Amino acid sequence: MAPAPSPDDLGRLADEDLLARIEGGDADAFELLYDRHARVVFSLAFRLLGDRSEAEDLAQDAFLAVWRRSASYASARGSVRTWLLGIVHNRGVDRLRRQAAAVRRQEALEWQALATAPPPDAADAAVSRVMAGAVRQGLDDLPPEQGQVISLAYFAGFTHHEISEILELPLGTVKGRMRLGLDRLRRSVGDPGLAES
Amino acid sequence: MSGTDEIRDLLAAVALGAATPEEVARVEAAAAADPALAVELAGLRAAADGLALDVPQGDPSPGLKASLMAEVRGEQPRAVPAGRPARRRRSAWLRPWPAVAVGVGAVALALAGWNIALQLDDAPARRVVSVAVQGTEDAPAVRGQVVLAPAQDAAAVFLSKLPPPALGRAYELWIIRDGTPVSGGFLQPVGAGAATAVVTGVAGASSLAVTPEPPGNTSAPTAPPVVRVQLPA
Repeated sequence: MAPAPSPDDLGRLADEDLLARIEGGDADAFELLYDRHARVVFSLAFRLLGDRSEAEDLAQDAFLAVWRRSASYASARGSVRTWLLGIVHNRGVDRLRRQAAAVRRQEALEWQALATAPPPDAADAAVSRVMAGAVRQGLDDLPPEQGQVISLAYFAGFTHHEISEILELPLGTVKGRMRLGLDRLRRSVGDPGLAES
Repeated sequence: MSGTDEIRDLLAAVALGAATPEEVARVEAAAAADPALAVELAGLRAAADGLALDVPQGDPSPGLKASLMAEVRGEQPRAVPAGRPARRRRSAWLRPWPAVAVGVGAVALALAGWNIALQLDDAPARRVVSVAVQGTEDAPAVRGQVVLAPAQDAAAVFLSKLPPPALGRAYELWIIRDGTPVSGGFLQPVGAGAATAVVTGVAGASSLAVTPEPPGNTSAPTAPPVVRVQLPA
């Protein structure tokens, strides 16, 4: 491994270069990667699990996976942040699915009711909105029935079969709403009109 | 319903992580054999990935970092297995901006114009700004937007009307500070001619650039930019 750079120099490295150093056991590089992404990792974990202690446990689990398996990152499949958040999501959904189905179903229904409440902090909501960019705008603009199935799938960890049961809808309807909603989100990210607004 | 229709019907569920393992295996096998299907799945996955940022933001307790670092520093140093090629080349910040990019000229590479479109927060240190961009003369049709979130030391980049990169290349984002580019990672395709990226570590950067690069290149740009964005001070 190359000689350790100064803290200032380390701070100028891209995430991918930090991962290369982490692969060689550089704890300083790992600490910097943590500092860059801890907020979004914890926030997603908390959104999935709804409990601060469990969310921190999940965040720790995800970061330790990065420390121990940084070599599994493939840049062609997206940014380091996307990869890290994918680890959080996959492991978070695994935890959700281990919970009793009845409890999860009740929580999902309660969450659906809370989802219409206004955000507690306008500034944080604004920053969050900007960070999520066009995807967030697209989610806001989705027809409610499409946003509902996407939220139940991504944030509550239900399969399309389970969503079909929860909402008492034909499986084909659920899959159709998922497809239409996600396709709409995809198009909104690449919408030239957004760039020129 | 044909087999292809059935697979397409499952794409969104797979992208959202809402399909069964058997369904995921079927879709991934089909995508491996059908490039068009693979592109469609990648676009839907990119949209689903964006949902991870669509959550209220909050900080973990300081104890999490302390606990994590204690565990990490307590483990034995690891050696990269012998015979495995280095995944990265030497640090990007040690290399100058290549002559090929400089030679095109500042005027040609500069944006035709940029403007600050949004100010969503009154506190200067947290002010979020959006910079509208357009392509260089190498890709004049490109349009896009860079959203800077200083409180998070991050930027979100959205580009559309990108020309297809040459075979074996993909678009990579560069953070330029003191004239030296540092890789911000590869952009994620999100549809025909569209791509997006979210990067951190942009504080103090003078500009961002996007170039078509071979996969894995993080050392320095090897081609002229299709976009170069001057960032507000």
